[in-house]
Amino acid sequence: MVRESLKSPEAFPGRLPFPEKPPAIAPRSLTGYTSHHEQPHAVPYETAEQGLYGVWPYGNKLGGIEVARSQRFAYSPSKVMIGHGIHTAVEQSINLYEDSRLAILLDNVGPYAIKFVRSRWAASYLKPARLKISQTPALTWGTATYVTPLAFPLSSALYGRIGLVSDFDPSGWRVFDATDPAARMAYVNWVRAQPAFSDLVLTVHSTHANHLLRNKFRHDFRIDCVLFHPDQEAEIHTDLGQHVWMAVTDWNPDRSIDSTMSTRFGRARFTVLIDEEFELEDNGLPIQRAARQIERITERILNHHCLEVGQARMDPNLPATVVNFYKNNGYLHVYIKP
Amino acid sequence: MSTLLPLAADYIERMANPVFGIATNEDYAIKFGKLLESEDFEARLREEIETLRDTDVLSSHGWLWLFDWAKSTSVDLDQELLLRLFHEWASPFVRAEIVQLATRGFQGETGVNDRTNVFDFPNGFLARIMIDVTRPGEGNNLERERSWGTRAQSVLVAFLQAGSPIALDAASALLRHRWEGQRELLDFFWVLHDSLDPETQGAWFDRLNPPRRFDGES
Repeated sequence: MVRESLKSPEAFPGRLPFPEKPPAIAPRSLTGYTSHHEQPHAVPYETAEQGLYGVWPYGNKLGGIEVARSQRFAYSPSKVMIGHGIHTAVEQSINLYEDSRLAILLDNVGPYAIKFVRSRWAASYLKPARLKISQTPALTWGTATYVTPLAFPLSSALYGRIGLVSDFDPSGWRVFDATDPAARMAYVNWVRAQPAFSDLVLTVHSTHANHLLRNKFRHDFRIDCVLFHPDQEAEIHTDLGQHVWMAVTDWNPDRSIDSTMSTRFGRARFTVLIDEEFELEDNGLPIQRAARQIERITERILNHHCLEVGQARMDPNLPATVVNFYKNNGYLHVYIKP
Repeated sequence: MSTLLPLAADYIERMANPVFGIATNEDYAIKFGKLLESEDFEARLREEIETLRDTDVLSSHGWLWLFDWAKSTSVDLDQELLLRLFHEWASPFVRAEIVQLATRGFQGETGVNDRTNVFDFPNGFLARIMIDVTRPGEGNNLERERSWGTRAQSVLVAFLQAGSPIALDAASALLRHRWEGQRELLDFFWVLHDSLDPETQGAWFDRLNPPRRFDGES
């Protein structure tokens, strides 16, 4: 999660039913699309989902590339303005959850994710509550809930001392794996084909432009989850090459991207407290690699002692203990007993 | 008279403006999210937003937040307000958002139709933009004509970027509309078209049915 200044340019609730056969409707009435050439365009279904899904009407060929007959693709009217090769490359980078890298990541621990926030929010999540969907243009993949699979429990500790854990149901999610270079290039090629691409690279609007483009991309391809490698690192806690973070979409009833509170992560609870602090910025720019603020120092002090905070408050000898550690170049760790 | 929104504007700025940093953005987003969970606050905010007419009440970042929130909560913004915002904004990406917001729920028939023109275009919001941007100028002011060309190009890109069926219909109608700046607009369109990969060029051609280069004929 990095701001544009440093980094290069950015649900449906569960699975939707997919109709068995195409109804006899004129594509034009639904999408406004009328082809002047014999090209294998998508014929949309007039479904309860307002024709957002479709099938390719010409066997199992999609722009000359074989695709499984059973593979769904999401239909969006704006995709009629994208060449088949670009479209296909993106679709090939999207897997249903069950076939995705996310399923592998959740295999051992189960479908749980963690999000670190500032300490002040501990009380709000004493009982299960919904996570806030992040909207800031500073984040990597647009408006989404940014979480980390529990396979990497401390990976995003950079963002706060309070770890909120939530279960979730990824069944049927369409997962775009941006940890794969081919997927990233598919996105870049899609961006290049956008009508306003030149404004992205020639004007001062790039931060918001990228934010809106990433939303459009996820919307047009009905992407429920983007997997990506961290782009900010908490020293020792984060492995940029191995760890994977998630940007998860909540959908409004009209299939636009929700920006309010996440339903998909609706039972988040304060579960982890970590004794560490990280800086998020360096001279006003997002930090790339944040050093540990506490452990880096404590590991250099041999003389130390732990004292539970309740005991410390009641201990009449506490002042003397502190003085003793001061005189002997040590430190006293007053900790909160679970 | 709006009272809540100006007070909320500071919160909104801190959660939407990246200059405050991720930590502050996120912090204020949670804080504001918790406020919105109170029914009374959300109801009052909705009410104020629906009656909003002043484009200065929020910063650029604040408006972008509001567009997202309006989509999520099905709040309808005043069309005149959206029109003014459209004209105030330079970024085609933001303009595309405004077009999407203003035309969401459009139920009319869409599709390439050579007979549709900007004056009887089925969506009033888009029609007004097109009529305004192609309105004949007074006198022979070269600078003004240049400014028309740029404005029309920017509108065209915003419609294309919005990408919805009705917005693409508007782009098609704008390209076919006969006015003083049509040739310049078509020149721009074909340059844009030629910068694309061949398959995307074909998709654009099919969907927009643009006039051929330079001659103004379909």
